Amino acid sequence: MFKKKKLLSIFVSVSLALILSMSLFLAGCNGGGSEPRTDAEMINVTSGVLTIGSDCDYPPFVQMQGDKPVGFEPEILQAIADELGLELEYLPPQNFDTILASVASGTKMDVGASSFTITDERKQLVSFSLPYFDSNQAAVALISTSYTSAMDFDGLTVGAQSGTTGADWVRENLTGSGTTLKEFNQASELMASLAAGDIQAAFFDEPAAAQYVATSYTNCHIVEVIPTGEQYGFAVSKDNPGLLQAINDAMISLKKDGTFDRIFLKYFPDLKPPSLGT
Amino acid sequence: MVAVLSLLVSFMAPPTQAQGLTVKKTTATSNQITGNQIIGGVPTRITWEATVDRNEAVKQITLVFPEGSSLGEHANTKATVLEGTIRLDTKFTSTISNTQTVVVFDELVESDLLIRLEMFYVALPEASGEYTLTGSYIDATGREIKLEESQTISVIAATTVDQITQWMDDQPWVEAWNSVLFLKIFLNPQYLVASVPALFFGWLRSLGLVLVGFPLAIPIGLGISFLRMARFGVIRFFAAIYVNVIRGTPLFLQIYIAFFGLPLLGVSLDSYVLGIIVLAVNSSAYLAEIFRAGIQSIHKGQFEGSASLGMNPVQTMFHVILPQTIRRVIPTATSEFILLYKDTARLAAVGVMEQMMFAKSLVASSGNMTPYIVSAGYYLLVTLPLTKIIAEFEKKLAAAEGSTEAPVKKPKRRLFGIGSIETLIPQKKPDEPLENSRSAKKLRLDEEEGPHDKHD
Amino acid sequence: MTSMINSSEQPVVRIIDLHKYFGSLEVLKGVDIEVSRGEVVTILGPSGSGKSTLLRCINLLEKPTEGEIWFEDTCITDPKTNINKVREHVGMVFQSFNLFPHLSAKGNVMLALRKVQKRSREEAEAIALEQLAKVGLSDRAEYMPSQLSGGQQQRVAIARSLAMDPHVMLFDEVTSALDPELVRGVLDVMRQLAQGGMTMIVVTHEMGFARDVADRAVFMDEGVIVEQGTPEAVFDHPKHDRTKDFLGHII
Repeated sequence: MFKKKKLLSIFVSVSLALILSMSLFLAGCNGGGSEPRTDAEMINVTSGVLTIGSDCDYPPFVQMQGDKPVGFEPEILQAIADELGLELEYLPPQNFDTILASVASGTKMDVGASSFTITDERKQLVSFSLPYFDSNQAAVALISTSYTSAMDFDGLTVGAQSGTTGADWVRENLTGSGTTLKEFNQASELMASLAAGDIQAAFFDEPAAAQYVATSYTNCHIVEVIPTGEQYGFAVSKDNPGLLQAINDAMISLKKDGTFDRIFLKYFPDLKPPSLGT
Repeated sequence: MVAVLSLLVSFMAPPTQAQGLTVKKTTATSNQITGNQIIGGVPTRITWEATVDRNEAVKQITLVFPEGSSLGEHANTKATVLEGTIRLDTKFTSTISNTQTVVVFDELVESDLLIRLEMFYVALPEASGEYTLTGSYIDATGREIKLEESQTISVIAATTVDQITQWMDDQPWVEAWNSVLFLKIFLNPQYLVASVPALFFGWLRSLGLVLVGFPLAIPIGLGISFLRMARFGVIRFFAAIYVNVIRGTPLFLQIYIAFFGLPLLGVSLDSYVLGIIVLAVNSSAYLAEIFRAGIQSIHKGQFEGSASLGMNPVQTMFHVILPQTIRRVIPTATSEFILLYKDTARLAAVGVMEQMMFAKSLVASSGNMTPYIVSAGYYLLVTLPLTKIIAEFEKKLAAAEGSTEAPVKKPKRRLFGIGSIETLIPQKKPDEPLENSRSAKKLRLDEEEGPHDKHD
Repeated sequence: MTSMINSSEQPVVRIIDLHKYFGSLEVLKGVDIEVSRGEVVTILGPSGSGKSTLLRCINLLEKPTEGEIWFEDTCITDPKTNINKVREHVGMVFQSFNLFPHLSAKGNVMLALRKVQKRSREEAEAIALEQLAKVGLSDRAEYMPSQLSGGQQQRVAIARSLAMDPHVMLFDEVTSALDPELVRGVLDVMRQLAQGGMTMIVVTHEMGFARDVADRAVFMDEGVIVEQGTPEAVFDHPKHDRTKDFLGHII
């Protein structure tokens, strides 16, 4: 009885989603399939609000403080929203590996902001803003172990956050037989698993790794910073060039009036703020 | 003049082996739709890294692709230069062709810097084998110096699945289907095909978790159910704590505590084994209540009948009560099995390699949700037949288990105790609702099953 | 064991000043009764008179609050007595049959033979078939209880008790739950049993049976034995008003 009901409701919701997306697709076609959209019209999922999707678990970029996301990204995005005359609203923490798909669908959030590295592969799915941070990968292990380089973990069980460039790096570089990659939803789960000894190394972005080993996980250290030279960008739906343009313009204007650098240096006093192409 | 001179120099001593550029690595990213290998004939991204040696500077780099390589749409080469871990704003121009890529830096890349070239959408030769990149660079003086050979990239021939998905790539109906964003992301034909074999081992691992965990939970649950009905209040109390704590907290929390807490206490187990243990412990609490409800649903006349024949409590339990209980709890216990099987997915969060982990990994590396849909299919492969079996069994049970108890005409007093067997006697009336188990409703329905056929 | 042989004049069951409380409710208020070997005693009385409780005390399905119960030369109210040993020799048949639904008729009879008396499968099977034959159910040996009528089930229950070779049989309203047309078969079996010399204590509402078969009729009301005697004396010449009243309502 209950089962049947459940199946029915699943069926109904799936078909609803199907119909919805079809109609959205058709609407999109009518709106401007052939002729280019009238330039730079910004669309928001909730009008007047800049809705952000983030995993909210990547200090110092973003983390939850009570029910409020704090960190470099929320502060920059607040400045951008102010610049655009929008309210800033963060959705509850999302799974990192589903954010880009959500951004692409364009119905749930305007911007994916979760320290996304700009890659060509991701550009297939979404558009990226100007790069706002230069980052590298780091291999983190327990201090009590004697590993000295990232390649030492070839053939071992290692972890990364699901869908990250760290996971990609492991897949591409640790190709020795016996390498097992465990993927976690949250960076904090990744670190907990490392501390528990379930994985030998955690691969993720160096700034977040540095923050973790300096605060919560003082029994871990960065074995090697892997110079990948990746850059973070805010993800925006490809169907929303107006919003992308508005965000980029706002970033440049924040760069010019010094707001961007002020926020950047507040969180990263030892680093050089990116040029943002200015 | 300088150019002529340099040409002359390079002409005089080509190829110069004096290395000023140390190649650090050459890798390619997997271009399998699912999997970690690099297949030939399909575009991939090649990453090449080198450091500039002391007293050397680099103006231009040429990398030569293995013979038989080709380019995909949007093929291009990007260069990144890092000083230590700091990314430099380096301007460059690049060209790419079937045979090679040439990167010219606007300014000399000085010594000690790391150069990374990423070549997007380059297809390595179709034939499987080990391939290397060769090439040369031009230094500050304009000399062209041959590069040392890079490490090899292993390329495999396309698997059947790869071939199928590649074939699908070219089909107009697939293209039409995928032009709808929802269908492309959730029901992508290529990922549908590729995920089935890719998730198979994850499916086996998930099944393994529950096929070991559940049988382990049965004796634990039975033991706990006995303790729950024990004569001594203290024992009942502790058994109740076990059951209520486990049933009263989310499985997710239990998993976290077991996986992140136990190791800090010095208990280190293989995560798969620990996963089985957590599932078994969790399920045992639910099974304990199912068994207890089952045992208590057995009419007290069964205990009295056994006692009147001189059977002791243990004999009564094992030869009279449990055989009847088992039949009654099979549907509920099977539901519990289904729940536990679905719960294996939660172990993905803590890094147990099971189906959900495999699916998540595919989704994460592809950005496509279709592997989740395929994963759902794998779960249904187990749960749907079991659901059907439960329904069949319940029907059979209803038909077969006619009550041997005559309709009682006068209200029966509740039982106060029959000698030493009293500890096993239900502490509540059998007609009280059995709200103890997740699927207690089922059990209750069994009890209330209508009139029984009598064939006289 | 030896005591059983030279106990011909010793009562099989002797109850001395038996009291039983359910909570604060006193259901037996000092009952004394003796049952001799080969005697058939019927206990009559209205609902709530305590007759079933009295019967169930004899094999300790109910624990007496006060008083003594002797089975042959064993004091079963003594906490040191192994009650399971006593129960082997005290057969009981219930109103609700209490057959084991997961076992065939034969299996029901065999179970205690195998597990309690530790007999071999062959031995137990032979005894089971013999007992089922005695109650007229040879052809139903392999049937499951759910495939039998109420009367047949009750006869299997009787066979199951008899198989243990009891020294006394307790019948607790064994026909109350049966459809009228099925009552007779069961009563016939009991009548045969009585004729065979079995010591029986029968709680019943079947006045005809009580009058024809019983050696003694006992009338209980409100937890005490009001009067007892031969069936003729009790049925035809009751001394007490309560007995008269009860019989007047029944007959």
